[in-house]
Amino acid sequence: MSKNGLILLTPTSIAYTGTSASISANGSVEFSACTTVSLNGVFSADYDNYMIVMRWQQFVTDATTTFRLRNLGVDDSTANSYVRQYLQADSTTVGAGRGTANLTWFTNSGIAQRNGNVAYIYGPYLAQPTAGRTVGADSESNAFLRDIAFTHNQSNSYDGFTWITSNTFTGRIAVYGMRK
Amino acid sequence: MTNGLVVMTPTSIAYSGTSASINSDGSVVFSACTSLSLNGVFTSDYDNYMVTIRATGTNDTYVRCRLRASGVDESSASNYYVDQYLYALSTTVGAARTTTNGAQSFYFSNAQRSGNTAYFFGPFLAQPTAVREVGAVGYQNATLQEFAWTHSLSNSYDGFTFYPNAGSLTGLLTVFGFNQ
Repeated sequence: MSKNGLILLTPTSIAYTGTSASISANGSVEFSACTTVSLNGVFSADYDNYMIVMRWQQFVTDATTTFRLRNLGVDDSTANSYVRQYLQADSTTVGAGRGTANLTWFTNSGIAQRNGNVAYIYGPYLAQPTAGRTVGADSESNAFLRDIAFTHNQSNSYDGFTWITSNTFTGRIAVYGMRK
Repeated sequence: MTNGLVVMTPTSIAYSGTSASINSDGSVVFSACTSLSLNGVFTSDYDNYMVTIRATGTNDTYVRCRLRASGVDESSASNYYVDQYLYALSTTVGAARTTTNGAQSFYFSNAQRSGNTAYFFGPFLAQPTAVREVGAVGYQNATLQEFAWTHSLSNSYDGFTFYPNAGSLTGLLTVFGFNQ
């Protein structure tokens, strides 16, 4: 008997800073000229692991977007609780780096074209540390490749997240649960 | 419960080579093809798509991709596609960016099977498009090769063509829409 393996999830609510954001009929979130977008109630006991798909444009400057886990409407910004590792290709230069902060890098982005990313979030609702991985096509210099792996060391349960940019972004984000 | 991934059956295909056909489940099987075009796989129903391809080639070769609308490839100028690749081959890493009229999107080998997953962000929207590919390439038995590319025109595309730089490809591909 076959089952759907990937389920589109509807946030119980959203919060945003910017011009507008709304939940579509099936559950994705469209946003316009926002600096933060928070999705609540997308992680639950039904699934351990999740996939987030994002397409967006931003129109001011190239920027690294960031991410915080969130529970009951409150971001977890515990100092030094997020560790990120990135690997990037910029023309013929390959680079990498690691950092520790109260948030994690999530994607790179450029102003020239569309940006698109897929993120995998492992175990955010479990009261255990969380891991995440993003892959993307970023439009800095028209085509830029930066992948990010991160961990969060708090053994808390999170039902959502906040996605943050340093200027504004416009696009759509959707969260999918991977059936376990 | 909303299914997250939906198989997109092409409305039609075109190819150069020995054979290609649409299976009953919507996937496309192809043999010794030098180009393969899928029409009608991108629609207004979904913003973002996932394409999975497994194939072997007669040559070790880059495979290029062009977006396509109403059966016509977008190749009108040499600077609409910008691609960035990153590879790891044994202990060597490398990268490059190119601007072309057909984006380098995959790498296939004649030694082993290669498998690739590509994410298309917003191809049907009349906005720029971004694409990200992650791959396991059979070159020298295992090579990690990834591509990110953008297309700058704000046109709507319902399909794509891919074609190897050299030789022909045999395999199977499936297009999925991310429900939203």
